[in-house]
Amino acid sequence: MAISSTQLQSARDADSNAHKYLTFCLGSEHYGIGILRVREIIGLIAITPLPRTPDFVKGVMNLRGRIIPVIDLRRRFSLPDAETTKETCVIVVDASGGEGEQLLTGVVVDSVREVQDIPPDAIEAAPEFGCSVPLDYIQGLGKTKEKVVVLLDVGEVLDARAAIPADVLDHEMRRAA
Amino acid sequence: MRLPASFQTSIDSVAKAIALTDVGDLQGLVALQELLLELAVEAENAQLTAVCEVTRQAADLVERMVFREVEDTSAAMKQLAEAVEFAQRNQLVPDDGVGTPAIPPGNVSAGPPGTIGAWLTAHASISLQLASLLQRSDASTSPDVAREAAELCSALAAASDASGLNECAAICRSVAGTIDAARDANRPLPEQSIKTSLDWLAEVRRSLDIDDAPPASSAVSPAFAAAIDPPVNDNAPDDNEPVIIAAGEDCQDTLAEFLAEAREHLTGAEAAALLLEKSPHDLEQINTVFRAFHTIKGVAGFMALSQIVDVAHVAETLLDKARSGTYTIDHIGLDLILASCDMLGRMVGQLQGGEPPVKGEVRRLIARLVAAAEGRSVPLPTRTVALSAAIAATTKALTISATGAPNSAAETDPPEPDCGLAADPAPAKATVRRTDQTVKVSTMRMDTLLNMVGELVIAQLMVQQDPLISHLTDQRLQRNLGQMSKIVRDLQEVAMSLRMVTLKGTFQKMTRLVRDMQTRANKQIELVIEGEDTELDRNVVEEIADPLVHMVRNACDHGIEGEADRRKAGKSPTGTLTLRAFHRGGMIVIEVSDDGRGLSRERILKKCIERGLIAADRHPDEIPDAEVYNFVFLPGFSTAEAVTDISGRGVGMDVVKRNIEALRGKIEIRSTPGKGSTFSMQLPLTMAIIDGMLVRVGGHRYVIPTLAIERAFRPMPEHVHSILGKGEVAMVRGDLLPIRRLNRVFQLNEGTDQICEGLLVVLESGGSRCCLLVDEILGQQQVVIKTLGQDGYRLAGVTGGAILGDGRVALIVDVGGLMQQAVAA
Repeated sequence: MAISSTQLQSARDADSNAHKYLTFCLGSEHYGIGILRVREIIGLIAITPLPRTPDFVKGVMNLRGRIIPVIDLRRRFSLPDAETTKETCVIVVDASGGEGEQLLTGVVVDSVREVQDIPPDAIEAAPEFGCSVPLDYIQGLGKTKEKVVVLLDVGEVLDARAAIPADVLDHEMRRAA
Repeated sequence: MRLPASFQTSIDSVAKAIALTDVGDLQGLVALQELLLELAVEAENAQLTAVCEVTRQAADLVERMVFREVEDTSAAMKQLAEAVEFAQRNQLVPDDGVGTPAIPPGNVSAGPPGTIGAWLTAHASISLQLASLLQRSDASTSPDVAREAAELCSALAAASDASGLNECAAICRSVAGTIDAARDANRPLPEQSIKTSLDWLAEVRRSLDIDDAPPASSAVSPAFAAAIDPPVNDNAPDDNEPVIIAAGEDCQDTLAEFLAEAREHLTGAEAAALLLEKSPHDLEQINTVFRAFHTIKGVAGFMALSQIVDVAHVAETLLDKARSGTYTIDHIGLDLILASCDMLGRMVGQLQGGEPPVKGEVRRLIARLVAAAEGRSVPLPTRTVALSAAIAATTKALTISATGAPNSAAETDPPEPDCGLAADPAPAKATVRRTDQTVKVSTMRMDTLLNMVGELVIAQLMVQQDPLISHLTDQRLQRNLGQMSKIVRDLQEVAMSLRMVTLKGTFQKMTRLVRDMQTRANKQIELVIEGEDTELDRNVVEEIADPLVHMVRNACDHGIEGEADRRKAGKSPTGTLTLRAFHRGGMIVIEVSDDGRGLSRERILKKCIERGLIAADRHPDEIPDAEVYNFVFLPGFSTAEAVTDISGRGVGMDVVKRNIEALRGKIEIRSTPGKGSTFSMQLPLTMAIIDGMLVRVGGHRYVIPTLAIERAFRPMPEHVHSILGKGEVAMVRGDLLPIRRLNRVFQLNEGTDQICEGLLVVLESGGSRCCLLVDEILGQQQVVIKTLGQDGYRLAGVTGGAILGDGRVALIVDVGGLMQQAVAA
């Protein structure tokens, strides 16, 4: 899914919010998600782990009667686990890109900072770090006054199919022999 | 002046070539074309312009055949043969002494034979041109072709006038008019009517050739009379083209609403129509059907869906007659009404991407409806009769097309005379059905509402069970809390019932199916319906329709015997098929029973033994009936001819079983030889809610569908055996079942490792069984199944999640998937 095109689409739809990003922290690093993809922010509630999933899939939780998957972003980025604090929270994002049905997914982060305006000319393409850092899900680096914010491509970050080994995916009911 | 010998030689060689040339033989065709061109030159030299013209066109036709531009090659060959025949005959014209070769026959105008000669020439030339026009690949669409065809027809009409063949002139004009009308309306060229007319004209010519006198035309006039109205439009060439209906851009908003509404009306109309079978004068029902067609017509007209309007209009006209008492809805009328419902249903379905009906069907239906409304018998057979009386030979093609129409056998019966109508003016019985007012709500909103209510229930529980509140003993507070919980419970019930619909619609479809099957299988079957008001989840009702159709069809086809067999068995000649729906233990049971011959245990057993499905050491007599009957659900077994021939059961029954199991239901068969059999389906009330057993493994809770649980027990050490240190089995009532440890399946680091400290839950799915080790069983409860968000998170061993009373999510164990893993492991 080409995120740039969907974002352009969103920009046309909601000009004023198109360059706004919700920034949050994982340890000392700052990250940002396009505000148009964010549905809500909730405190950490009980999460039911899913068996046989990659470790960054924290499980599922109950969002007002709806069950949504929850991703641990620290683990997704192979960062060391952090202790759960009062600031730890879940950002609920829509992974569908605005087309079709909503695909709500929770993302566990250390703390939420603020909503920042980062115009396109303040965003730089992610530099090459060599092959050790996967760059698929980095949309760009946003320069703000005090910090560099890693802007994330929500679709890539949450792509469960890329993350779950094929053998645990869908299976067929065994037919009576 | 004698014709040159070379001309005759040419004609002979052409005739020979045509007789010998194979349509696939390109070289032969090329040679034929050369011969034809030679003949044309010869004819020109002999000043036989008409022959020259015809021959040239024949050559053109051959050329197109060479280039594979002709679709119907056999027809083309026939035209070539006619062309040569024409050339041969005209070659003889000079010998008749009527005209000289110097004067083309077309110019001969004195005396009847000459007049006829002129017509013959014109006819041969024009018919060949017309036929070759029709051969063009773009014939049906190109306006140029249509214009040319219309001109040719008009020309032939003029020629016919000049020759005093008034009927021919009339038919030619009528065809020309039809072509023009079709062109103006942007409809495809009415090829079939042109071809039919050409055939008739050819027949006229033949009769003229034989009788050598104009009076022959009067012999064919009845055929023309029949042909001019309305059949010329009938049976047209684009019969097999789909009717493309498309709503305009500006109507897209209303389209969805229209579709839903139309469906509803059609369902209602069909139900009412079926009631008319028993009481044809029931005004109430006639009105219902009429209103349905009328409304559909109105809305379709508004949306410029002219094809729908056409059908609805004629059907409405027929019903209007029935309403005013000038037409009695007999069996044929009912067939027509039902056929109209079907046709409209298909047209409406096409708007949603369904298979479109073809034009021929639409036209035939409209013609039949019009005929019925006008009190005539149905047009197609009538015309066939008239024609065969007039011209025996010509009718061949036509008869084929007419009898090829569906239900033509039924059509030949003229409608029964209108009897007893005045005496019995529609006793509108007091059986006026009271129907609830309904509103349409989008399913998404409904689901949201259901979710919210679910949340409310949880929130209310959380408040009520809050330690702070539950310790308060204030009476008023407790009373208010009790009141609130009652309201919330009621609210939840109502919300759940929103998804429920009755089985009425589904059962009604079966009424129709049985009616159709009766005619097709030529059996007398009475359908008894019980419990049609039983409510089920919408999804379940939708999913159950196909299996039900299958079972009903099976019962009609194979279960219920033919009349003779029934008499022989001492049963009433009319078979009874019973559809029954009722509640049993939180499940819905739907039964399809027939009083037919029942399943043949012997045949099934024989087949099983042949296929090695029964262990050799088991004596067939020991196997219980239920197990035997269950074999018909095996895939592949169904198609085994020996069983289907005799017992007839099992066609695609594996599919039925799979569908029902997908709905988390069960199916079983009861059968008594000679008395009939019953297929009994047990289905959950809803897809969304299951009865679950809540189990605990370590700190995790899981829901196991109760349906899959046979029993649970705490194993004793002597029950459990280890196999090669890899697998474990438990002895359960004499059977050895593999043990699966849920904590290992789900790779948890918790839960007991001591089998004897936990519980073994015996699970059954798809015929295989296993034991599942859990720490303890927490209790049984109904849970709402929810998906786990994205598709990518669908996991082996888990069907979904359920939100428990404390707001947490518990995973629902997929028993089937678990078994599969057990096999794979």
